[in-house]
Amino acid sequence: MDAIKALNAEAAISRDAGRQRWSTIGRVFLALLGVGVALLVLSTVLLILVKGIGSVNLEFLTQQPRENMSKGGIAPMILGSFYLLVGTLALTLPIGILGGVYLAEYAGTKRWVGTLKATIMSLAGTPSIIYGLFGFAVFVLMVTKKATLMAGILTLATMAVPIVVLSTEAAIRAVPQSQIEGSYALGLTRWQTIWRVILPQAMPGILTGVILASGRAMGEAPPILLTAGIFYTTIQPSFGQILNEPVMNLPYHVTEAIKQTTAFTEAQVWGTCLVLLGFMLVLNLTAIILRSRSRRIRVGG
Amino acid sequence: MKRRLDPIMTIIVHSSGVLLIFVAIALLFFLGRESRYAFDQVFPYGYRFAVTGEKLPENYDLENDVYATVISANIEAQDGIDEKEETLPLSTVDAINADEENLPIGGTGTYIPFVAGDAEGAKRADGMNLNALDPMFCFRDDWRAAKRAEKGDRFLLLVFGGKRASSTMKLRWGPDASFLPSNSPYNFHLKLVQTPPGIRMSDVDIDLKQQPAGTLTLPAWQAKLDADRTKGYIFEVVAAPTTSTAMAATKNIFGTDWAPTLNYARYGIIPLLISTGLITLLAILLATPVSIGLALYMSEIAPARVREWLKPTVELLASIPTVVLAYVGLLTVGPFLLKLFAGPLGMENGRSMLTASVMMGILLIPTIATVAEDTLTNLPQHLRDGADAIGLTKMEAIGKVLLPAAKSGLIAAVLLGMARAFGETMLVWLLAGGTVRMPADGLRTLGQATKGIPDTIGIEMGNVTTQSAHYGHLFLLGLILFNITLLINLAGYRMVRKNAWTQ
Repeated sequence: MDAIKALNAEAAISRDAGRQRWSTIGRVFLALLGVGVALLVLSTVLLILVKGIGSVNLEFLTQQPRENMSKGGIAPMILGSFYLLVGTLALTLPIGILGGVYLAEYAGTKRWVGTLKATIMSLAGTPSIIYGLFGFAVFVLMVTKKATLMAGILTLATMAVPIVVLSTEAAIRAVPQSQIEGSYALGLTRWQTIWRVILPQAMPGILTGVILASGRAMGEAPPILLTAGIFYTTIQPSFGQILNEPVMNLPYHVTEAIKQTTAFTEAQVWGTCLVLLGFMLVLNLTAIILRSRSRRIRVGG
Repeated sequence: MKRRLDPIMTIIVHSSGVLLIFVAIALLFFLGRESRYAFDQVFPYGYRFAVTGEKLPENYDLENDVYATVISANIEAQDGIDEKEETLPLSTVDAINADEENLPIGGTGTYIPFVAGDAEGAKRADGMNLNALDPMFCFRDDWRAAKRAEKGDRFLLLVFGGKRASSTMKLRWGPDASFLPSNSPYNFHLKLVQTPPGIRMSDVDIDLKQQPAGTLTLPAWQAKLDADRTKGYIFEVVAAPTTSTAMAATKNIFGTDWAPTLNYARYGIIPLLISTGLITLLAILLATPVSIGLALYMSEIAPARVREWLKPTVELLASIPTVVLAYVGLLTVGPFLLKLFAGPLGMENGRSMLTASVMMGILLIPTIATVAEDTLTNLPQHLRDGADAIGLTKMEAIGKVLLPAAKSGLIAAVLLGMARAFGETMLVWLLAGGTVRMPADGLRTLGQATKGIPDTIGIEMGNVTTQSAHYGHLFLLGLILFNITLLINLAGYRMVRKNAWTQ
């Protein structure tokens, strides 16, 4: 009997050893996967950096394009994308915050709020080309009558707002309930609580969402192609007229440069890609800094 | 003082909540409103008629017969076609007899006494004395023809032979290049209304929809003088609308050919839909295992410090603009796949369905991995502790406890990724090659260029005339795309809610 028990125990041990081995293999496999994806991302970014850095210099960043865009810089495209970004930020910030406050603090748990949230989530996942078509049909055809910076900003804002609302709601929900209750206990009204207690604490999180969503919207080519973009223009409108003219911008420029292989050198396209990616990296870095700061505040408080 | 702000802010906040619902309704409304032009279009039509002998010269083609007559709509306002105003006069008897090269034995021509919808003209045609027809006003190719074939509209078709006509001659007809009679809301009947003196024939009444191409044997009759050209056979081509324009447009949408720049444009969305569906499917198949594995690594295995670095890195991929990603794919993945699959898949260049799918798979990794990681992180700790307590290894815990528990959240992640892939424009635009194609070659389809829904909108919106049929169809594509992604997203949202471990 003892012999049989011993055999069983041995078998159990070897079975266990097999299971452990499989577990280790699985762990290693998943770890390799993680490393692989990280390498994929970093190598993509590095590739753009290495290929593009050669053509990015002061002239490239600050000069007008010359000689059928084959020489000179991409300053107007950078400026155009910057305008689009700033306009989108300015529009999404208030609307996104109000919408998020509504969802987190006012909407409650009424039945149709579920529908509203489902709608907002679906809007957040709606393809950018759909917003492009919408912006073209509404802002371009009905409001401005031609492709303009304003139509582009309105379109990008429409696209970014649902995402901003969701991130704002999440940021507000992260504020500790005890502080909100404390505020009410001190006799502050609902809006006073929101303005003085909730928003200051949630602000880094809210800003992170707004910056990331606007940045991604700005980097999307299809909506800009249909509403605000122009491949080449020499019009340099006065400051008051800027909203009423189409703008050259980076995503449109990259799209056209890839299509017109004869007019552009590879180095130029890589350079433009790098500048566009640079925009995103700066925005991401801002978001990361804001996020870590908010974490510090929360830990401190 | 400050308290008075409260009711005002309540109103403002509430209205901004309502505004969001309004955005969704407005999207649906305006996409739908603009796509009405798809159904309110003018369908061009076109048939060719020619007279030949019994025996045809080799490589005879009705399409290239210079003596053929075209009865067709005025397509001048169509997309991509230059204005065409020329009207070619009826061939003269001398020209037919002298032309050795084309070996014509007879000629055809039309007489258009009125423009469609012109009631006075219709009356004139009814009371018209066929014997008084003036050959000077008969044409071979007349672009003044009406745009719509209203009920009762008709063309007179003159048929006469030259000196080479033997005992019989043949009237041949067929649809104009790229014209599909079955897609047209208009139907025509070919009727015999006059025979030349001394020739008797039974009645002819041919339905051109049922018999879009064919021949009719006629006893030969020669026109000796130009003035005789109207004394020969005279046929009537009478319009008889069969379906409404909206019905015909609907039928065309389910066609298998998207060719908006043809003279007779076709707007079948099936190939676009299939191509987008295939790219999405492939991308999901590629991205799902990687993304869920990555999510498992981040939530279950990676040490906190690794996770802190890995997460922003994955998010960095999400913030690379898709145009840039497409360019990277074009110069790296494209040539790589070409080297691998040039033989087996018959790839011609780096731009193919496969290239787009692979890059799309990479693009989807952050989308799927982020949601999947959220789901896994939100699983309650007691599941892991319980698995540990009954002696499961980490991998067994993942396979038997964690993954089943997170199932609906993971499905939601895949669904959200699917919606993302379905609507991705730039990657497919720049990497798939942009050729409309029905997948027909099995696996080789992967190596061929293709064109999907979102990129078709992106490419073609740039040079479309607003409010044309083409414009309407692009908005219709948008509407379809929006509805599909909406459904996928809503299904994903339901899955998130179903997940027992989130709120």
